[in-house]
Amino acid sequence: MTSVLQPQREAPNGTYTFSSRPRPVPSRLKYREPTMMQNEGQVVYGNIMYDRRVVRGNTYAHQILPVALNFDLILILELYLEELTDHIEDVNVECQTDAFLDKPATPLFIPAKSGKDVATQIEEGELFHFDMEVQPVLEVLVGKTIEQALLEVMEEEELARLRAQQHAFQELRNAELVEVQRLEEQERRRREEKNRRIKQQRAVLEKEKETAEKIAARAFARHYLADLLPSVFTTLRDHGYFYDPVQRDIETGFLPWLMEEVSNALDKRHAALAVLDSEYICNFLFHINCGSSFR
Amino acid sequence: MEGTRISERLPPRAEPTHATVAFGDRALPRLSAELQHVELRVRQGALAALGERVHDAERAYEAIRAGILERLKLLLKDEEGSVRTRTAEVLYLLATHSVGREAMLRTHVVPTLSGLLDEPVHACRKNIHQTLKMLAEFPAGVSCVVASGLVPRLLMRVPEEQEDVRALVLSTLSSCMREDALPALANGGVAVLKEQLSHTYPDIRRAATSATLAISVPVEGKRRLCEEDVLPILVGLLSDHDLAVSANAAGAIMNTAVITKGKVQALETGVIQPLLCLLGRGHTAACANALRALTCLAEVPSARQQLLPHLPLLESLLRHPAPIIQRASSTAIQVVSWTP
Repeated sequence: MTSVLQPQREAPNGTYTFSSRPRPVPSRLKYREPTMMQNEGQVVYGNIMYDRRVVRGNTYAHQILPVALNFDLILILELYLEELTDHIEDVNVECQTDAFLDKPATPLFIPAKSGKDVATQIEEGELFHFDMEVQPVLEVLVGKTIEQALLEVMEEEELARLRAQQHAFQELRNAELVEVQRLEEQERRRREEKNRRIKQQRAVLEKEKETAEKIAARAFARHYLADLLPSVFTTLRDHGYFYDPVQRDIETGFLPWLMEEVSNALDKRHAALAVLDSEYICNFLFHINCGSSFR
Repeated sequence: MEGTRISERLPPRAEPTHATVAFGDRALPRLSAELQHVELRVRQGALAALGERVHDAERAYEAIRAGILERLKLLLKDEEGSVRTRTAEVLYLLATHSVGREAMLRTHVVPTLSGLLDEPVHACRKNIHQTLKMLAEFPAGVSCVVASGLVPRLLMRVPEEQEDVRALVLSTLSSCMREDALPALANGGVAVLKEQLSHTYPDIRRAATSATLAISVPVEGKRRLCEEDVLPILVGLLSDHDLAVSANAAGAIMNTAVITKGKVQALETGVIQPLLCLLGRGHTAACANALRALTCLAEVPSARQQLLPHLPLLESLLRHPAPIIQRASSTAIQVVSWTP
């Protein structure tokens, strides 16, 4: 380590000079850097906290100071050899209190008595008499509760009574209704039955009457028609419905034809006569006669 | 509660959701103003408080005089489902008092209620039907309900509703039919009732049988019942566990047996034996209805023959404490022992 000796400077006012100026201890870098090699003149200041030369720990302990051997001496120092370690021997001194012993109870601190003693006490019946005082309170409480409960019960009761009354009324009403309806129905049925029977009876009577009339009519008709047949025949015969077919045929067929022919013949003769009688023919015949007479 | 100092805070409220009710005369005007408040919680609180108050008949009367019904009618059309449900509940509570019922008829609440029959919220519909049922249980109310033409719509709702609401609708319908059965008949009431007669719930059966009883009073109803073969179901119901159901079924049979067709059909389904069993079961209405049914059936000679051996039973009923049964049994004996 090069050290730079500080030039001795004369004190300006001669108060104080250092023979050796205090200077920070230069330290050696652990890892020398190449740049550092160049400027060897620069002093590297280190942190004394990380300086190995500074003694750590208790300075009252034994210290191992490095001994500088400058000359050849045979010294038998094995006896005095001590191991160099970082570990600093120290002496342990301990102190430990004993386990707690049971502490007796602290006596009560009773301060010394001073002044006069005065006491007061309220006896049983002096302030109030509980049973008497509590009564109005209780009355109100219980009374209100019961009143409310009674009200509610009364409501229900009233409604139940009303319903029961209604129910009874409904029963009666139902009874009456059904009776009325049943009797009505019965009446109706009976009336209808009666009507039906009357109608039936009437129908029977009608039929009887009709039958009687029929019988009467038949008897009368039979009687009336008893001599129907002969009279019919007579009438028919009178009217000429029974005829001899040949005679009829002659009468209807032959005789008219005959008459027709006769009439035709007569007509022809009549026509001829008429022709002869006519003027023209007379003239013609006269002429013919004259003519013939001329020939 | 350990210290002796009185706390600055107010005491704990029994119902945090209810609105605070003002004292005395101020209570109702304030509640009725709160009912129209914009905020939902205020309205709900006011409705809850009103519902509490209205249980008492006097408070109900005061509330009605303060014109609460108009506000409630408006609230029925609110968008919020819980508000509508609460309103319907308050209306139901009002309808349990007779002042309330009269006031509801005066202010025409029934048309507003009938507009809500298709309400999506189930609880609201239930309350509405409860209110309608309560209104239909007294004469003026029934005429109002029938006049508003609710019967066909209620008939349509019967198959669609759930069980508990269905029983309520059927009860309303039976009250309406007792008043006037013709609208129900015209809208196919018999078919609807026929389905409900064989339901498992006794409430529904009870209501359905009483409706059948009411519908069988007019002649048209009797004829329809015979045509649609309801009589076998009714004969089956005569041996039901619930005595009210059997009583109503016997009543329906008794009404139907007045016409000849009914008699014939009933006898075909073998109705006499169950009716005789019903006589012994101790329920006054059931007994009376059974006796009257037997009376109607005894018009037929074959039934008379079957019943002649049971005359001693009928005679024992002459000594029954209820006068209604005595009368019924005497007519029955008369008819059974009649000879042409």
